[in-house]
Formats: sequence, C-alpha cells, structure tokens
Amino acid sequence: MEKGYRVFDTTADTGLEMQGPSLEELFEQALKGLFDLITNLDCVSEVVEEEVHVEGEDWVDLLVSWLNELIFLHDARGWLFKSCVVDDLDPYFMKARCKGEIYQKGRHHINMLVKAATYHRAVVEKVPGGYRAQVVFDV
Amino acid sequence: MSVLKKIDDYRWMVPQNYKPGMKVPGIIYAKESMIKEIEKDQSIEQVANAATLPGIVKASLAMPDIHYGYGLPIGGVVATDISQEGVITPGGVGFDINCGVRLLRTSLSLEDVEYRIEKIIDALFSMVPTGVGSKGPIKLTKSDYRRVLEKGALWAVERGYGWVEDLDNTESRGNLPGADPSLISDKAIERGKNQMGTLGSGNHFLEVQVVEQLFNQELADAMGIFHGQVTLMIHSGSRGFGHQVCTDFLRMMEKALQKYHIQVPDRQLACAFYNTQEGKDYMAAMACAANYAWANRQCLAHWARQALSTVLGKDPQSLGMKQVYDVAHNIVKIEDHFVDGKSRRLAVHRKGATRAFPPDHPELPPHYKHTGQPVLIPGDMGRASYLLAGTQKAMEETFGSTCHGAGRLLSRHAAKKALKGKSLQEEINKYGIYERAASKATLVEEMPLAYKDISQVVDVVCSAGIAKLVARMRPLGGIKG
Repeated sequence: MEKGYRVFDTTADTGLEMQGPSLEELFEQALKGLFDLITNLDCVSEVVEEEVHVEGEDWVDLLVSWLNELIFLHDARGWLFKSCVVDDLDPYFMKARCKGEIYQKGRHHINMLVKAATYHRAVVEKVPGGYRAQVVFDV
Repeated sequence: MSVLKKIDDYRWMVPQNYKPGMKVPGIIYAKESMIKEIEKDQSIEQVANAATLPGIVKASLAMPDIHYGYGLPIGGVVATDISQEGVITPGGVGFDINCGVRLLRTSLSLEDVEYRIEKIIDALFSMVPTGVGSKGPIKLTKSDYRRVLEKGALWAVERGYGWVEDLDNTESRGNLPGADPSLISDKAIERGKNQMGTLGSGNHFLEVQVVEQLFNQELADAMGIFHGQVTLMIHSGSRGFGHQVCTDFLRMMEKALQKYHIQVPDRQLACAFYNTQEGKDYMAAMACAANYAWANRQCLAHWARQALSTVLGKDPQSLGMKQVYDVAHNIVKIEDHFVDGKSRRLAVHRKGATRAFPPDHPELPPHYKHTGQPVLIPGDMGRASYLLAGTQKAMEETFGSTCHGAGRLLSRHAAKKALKGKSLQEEINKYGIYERAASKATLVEEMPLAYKDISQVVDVVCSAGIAKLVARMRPLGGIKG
C-alpha cells in the first residue's frame, strides 16, 4: 500500500482521508494532510524539530487528539509542520518529532483556519496492506 | 417517503416514534420548497438524536437555516429541564462558542459614504486584524485576561474600547455570569492570548451596509433605523480560545457519558447532567469563552468606529455610531420558560440560532421593552442581511429563539469549482460591493452562490411568527479573513 492522503468535502466542513502501510505512517500522513490544508507545504522548510506527545483512549481518540494538538501548536505558536517521525505509538500514547518552521508573514500563505478535529465520521481501520483513517475538521 | 409530517405551512414534525429513545418529537421550521434540500444531509437524523437527550422538554427544534453540524445540527434549539435530569452538551453549542453578530447604526446616509466606500473599507481593513494567524494589538496581561473571562464586554469598555451604553444593547449585557477562569486549560489561555480584537477567518466579517427596505416603521424608529441609513455589521466569535475550550471539554464529556451511564445515539452528543461537576464545569468554562467573544466584538466595534471616524473626519459620537444590538448564536443559557403552563428553569442550547425575546421581557433594556429584542441575521456578502424583532410566539414555541443566517449551500470545494473560469473580481462586481480579504481563498469560498438565500430563511421565521421583520440591509462592502 502506498501512503497518502486525500481531502474530501462536506457542505460546511472539510474532511481528510489518509492511508499507510503502518500506523506510524498513517499518523504522519495525518500531519501532512492537515498542514497541506492550512498552507502551501512547498514554502515550508524542515528547519526546526519539535517533540510532541499525545494521549488517547483508543486509536480514533488518539488520532483526533494528535490533530487537535497540531492545530493548537499552529494556532497558538504559529507552527507549520511538513513531516514527522513517530517514535512511540500505541492506542493510548504517541510521541513524535515534528519538522517544520514557525509562520513568517510574506513567506507563508495561510489558506484555511481549522478550528478543531472532530469525532464526526472519525475512523481508524485495518485494511488489506495497511491502515486507513478519516477525520472531519470544523473549519 | 419523507419522515417529516407537515404540521402547517412552516412547521414539519419528526414523529417521536421515528427513532427509539426519542423523548419528544422534532419540529423543523421550513417551507415545502426547502424540504428536499434539508433531506439531503443527515440533519433530520440529528434533530431526532437530540430528542433522546435526558431532560429535553417539548421538542427538539430546528430553524429553517438547518444543516448538518457537530452533534446538534446548525440551526438547532434544545432545552433541557435542569431541575429534572436535564443535560448540558457541548455538541449543542459548537466549537465557536458565542459566535455572534453586532449591529452599529450611524447618522449617515448612502450619499455620505457611497463615493468613498473604498476608502472606508481600506481603513477598516488596515485597523481591524483579520485572517488566520492575525494577532491583535491588544496584549492581555494576566489580570486583564482574568477580567475578560469574568466580565466580557465590560472589560473592553473599561479599557476604553467602546461606550458604557453598548452594554445595555448587548445580549446578557455582554457578560455571562458564573464564569470560572480556573477551569480553563493553559492551551486555551495560550491560544487566546494574542487573538483578542481579531476578526478571524471563514465566514466572519465586518460589513458596511445600507438600509434598503423598512418593513415596520414603528419598530425601525424605536431601534433608530431609517431608510437609506448606513449601518455596520460585525460577525465574529471567541476565536482560538473558544475552539480550545470546546475541544478540552468534549474529552471530559466523553468520559461523563460512561460515568453517569448516559446513552446517546451519537458520540458527538456527549453530555453530562447539569447538576454534576462536569455539567457545572462546562457551563463555567463556556461562560469564559462567551465573555471572551463579547469582549472581542466590543473591541472590533471600537476599531470600526475609529476607522469610520478617521476617513470621515468626525468623531464616532457625532457620526451617531450607536449600537443597535449584539446577539450570540452559539451558546447555552439558563433561562425561565413556560412549559405546559408551568415556569421551568431550562438550559437552552442555541446552535446557529438566535435568541428572540418578546416585548416586555425582563432581560430587555427599557428602550426595547415595547419592540422586543432586536434580532440580527447576517446573509451572504452580496445580497442582504436583516434586522428582526423577537416575538411572544417565539417565546411560546421555540424558547424565545429564531434563525441565525443563510447557511451554506455549496461546500468550499464546490464553490471554487463553480467559480472556475470566471473572474473573481467580476463576480464580486456583479453585486456592486467592494471587498478586502486577507486571503483570496476566503473570498472564493464565501461567494454568495455558496449560500442559501437569506430572504427565504427570514420569510419562514417571520411567516411562522417567531420573529418580526424590521429592516433589510444591503452590503456596500466589507472585510474578511
């Protein structure tokens, strides 16, 4: 299975579908998909690394929490992430090193304000060859 | 076959036996021509789901601008009896807590501004921080921040942003009681720290309008509105602060479901009984976010006054820039209502719905005692917005609530597609408006063609009697995120 993500539309909000041969890659695709919605990733350099920890109750909760943590880091601190390496991952905890930079006016363009990742239609599932997930954002 | 049963020309029932566990029926305010569109998404299902909430009274209601939302549909109104087993659900409020609308009037007529509208909009755009990642000029100190969360718009007025009389013309005087800042996470504090006095993005806007039609001279006179008058409308909310409060408390409510053995058909309706720690904590945190939003709109109104004053060379007082009113349309409030002839204390969730209290309601300031509460309904950026008044019928039928806006018709992607090959500027010019936006994408996504016709929505609530027409305003131009 190739890893990747796809944006899908609902009337008022925006969804993200992702897949990967491993759960680590699935969570990495979630980061990429989110920041692809927020900004033009071509303009983001992977110059700074930030360690991020998240806790969850199950895989869906962990994925939603992961995305909400990234939304917080973007909205409060201006982070734009382009990639990550997932070091630890189980349904209750994950640790990742996220690479990117802080938003700079003029150099980065922001396309969309993402308020939160929701549990609406949120799925993490095993499929032949890997994993698939989807999340709907309140935008 | 449709699950909806027609009650009359403007009301449709979702029967109580439609879904197991429904404690009351659902009632949707709409006209026949809207039903097909409403049936397209899952919003009727959401009306039915809300009818299963513990303690819900009378009916799970939806306004004609209904569409699919997180938990409750947008346009949903749900009241639960807090003296019984009534619950509080963050899904009945939404992420943008106290998103709302403010209307300022002026003593100016169209001819006073028409020839310099571009200058006015440019001044607004340079003075009001807009767009994603915009930081406000206000730096909140720790003690300031606390006062914002506890006192709302009053904090802003104390700091010189606006006038004391603005508070009389704001729902709940811009200050929801019971706010407890100790319940707010560090993340919410950090997210909101630099966003006070910022408009935000998406469908939030600040617009210069002209009153193009009066429907009720007496009510318009009492609200200081005249034909051809220039008005300013602000649509914004609690910014990242409120989004984080909702995110934080949804997690808590998920756990509360298990703790109190509450069964809901949808995880997004996670809730807790009002009389539990979780229920009370959410109310106290939600009040902080509601107060943040009122302080925010108060600051935005101040800059709008300053911008107009700068361009026209007169101070805001002599431009007659008084506040008509400010309403919340994403909120849960404790209110007294008559149900089956008895006064009951209810938690009224309004999610994409506006309070519409009738004449003589004790919460209204003396100058609106005879008119009923001014109700502000923003439309899309090209067509129209409305000023309505609350009615006794709204009090009797919908817990003093009415619609909140147009509601999206096309997704953002579909809006982009619909504009493909066309010039954005030409499309905007068609409406005779001048727009400035931090992001071109926002303008594309917010084009009028992406929204339902607000006049149809307003027609339903006024024909049904849950609001009264006062005036229609046409946009001259505006700023967006």
